[in-house]
Amino acid sequence: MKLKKINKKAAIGEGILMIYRLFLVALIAIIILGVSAIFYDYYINVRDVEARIMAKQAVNCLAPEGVIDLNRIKAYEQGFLKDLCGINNLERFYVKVNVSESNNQVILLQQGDSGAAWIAELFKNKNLVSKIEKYEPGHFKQDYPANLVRDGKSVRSNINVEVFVNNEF
Amino acid sequence: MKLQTIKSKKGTNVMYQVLIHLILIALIFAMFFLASVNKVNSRTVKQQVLEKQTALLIDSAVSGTTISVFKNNKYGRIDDLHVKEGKVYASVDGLAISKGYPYFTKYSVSVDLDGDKWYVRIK
Repeated sequence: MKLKKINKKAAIGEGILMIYRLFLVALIAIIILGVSAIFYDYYINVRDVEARIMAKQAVNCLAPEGVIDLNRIKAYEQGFLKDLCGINNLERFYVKVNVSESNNQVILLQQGDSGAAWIAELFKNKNLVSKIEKYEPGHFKQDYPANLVRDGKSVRSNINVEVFVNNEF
Repeated sequence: MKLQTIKSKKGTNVMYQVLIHLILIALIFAMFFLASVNKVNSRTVKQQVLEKQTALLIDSAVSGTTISVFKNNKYGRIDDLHVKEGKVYASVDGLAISKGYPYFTKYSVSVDLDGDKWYVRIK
C-alpha cells in the first residue's frame, strides 16, 4: 500500500518534470525559429510611388489639359479628391495643393490628416528610426505649371502638389 | 527472478518515457518548423510583390484598361487573385490569402479568370 502511494507520488513528479522539459523545449524552438523568421522577413515599401501617382491624379483632376477653372474648384477646398475627383480609399493620404499666381496664393486645397506631414519629418532622423523604417510615410512634392481661368481671364499659374501616404498596417 | 522481473519492468518504463519525450519534442519542433517554412521559401515576398504591383497598376490605370496576369508566372502559381473593399488579395503557390494591399481609384475594378490568365478590369 505504502509502495503504491510512493509510486503515485513519483508518477505525479515525473509528470510535472515532463511539463517543465516540454516548456523549455518549446521556448528554445520559438527562439530559434522566431529569429530565423525575422531574418527572412522582408517589407517592400511602395508608398513613395503611390504618392507620385496620387499627385498626378490630383493635377489631372484639377487642371484637365493644363487649365484650372477656379469657379469649378472653389467649392471644394476641403475634401476635393473625394467630392470633386471621385477618388475613394483616401484614409492613408494627406494631399495639399497650393495654386499660386506670381508667388501669390490663389487657393489652397487639402484632403486628409495633416499629421502625416509631421510624421514624415520625424523619419528624417535616420538614426532614431532605423528599426521602424517600414512605417515611414511615402512622400512626393512637385510643381506643375498651368493656366488659371478666373472671371473669364486666363493667367499663368503654378500648382504645387504635396502628397503623404501613411502605412497600411 | 523476481528482482530481474522488477528491473526489466523498470527499464521498459524508462524506455517508454524517453520515447514519449522524444516524440513530443519532435512534434513541437515540426510544428514550429512548418510555421517558418513560409518565410524561408519567400512565398510571402512573392505575394507582397504581386499584390503591390497590381495595386499600383490599378492606381495609375484609366477607365477601359485591362491588366492580364498569367496564372503560372515567374513569381509562382497564382492560385487566387481578387479585389474586395478597396484591397487587392493574392494567393501564391498555395499560400493563404494575406491582409491584402489597398488601392485608390475612381473607377470600378473587377477580377476574373479566363483560361490561364487573371484579368483585372478597370471600368
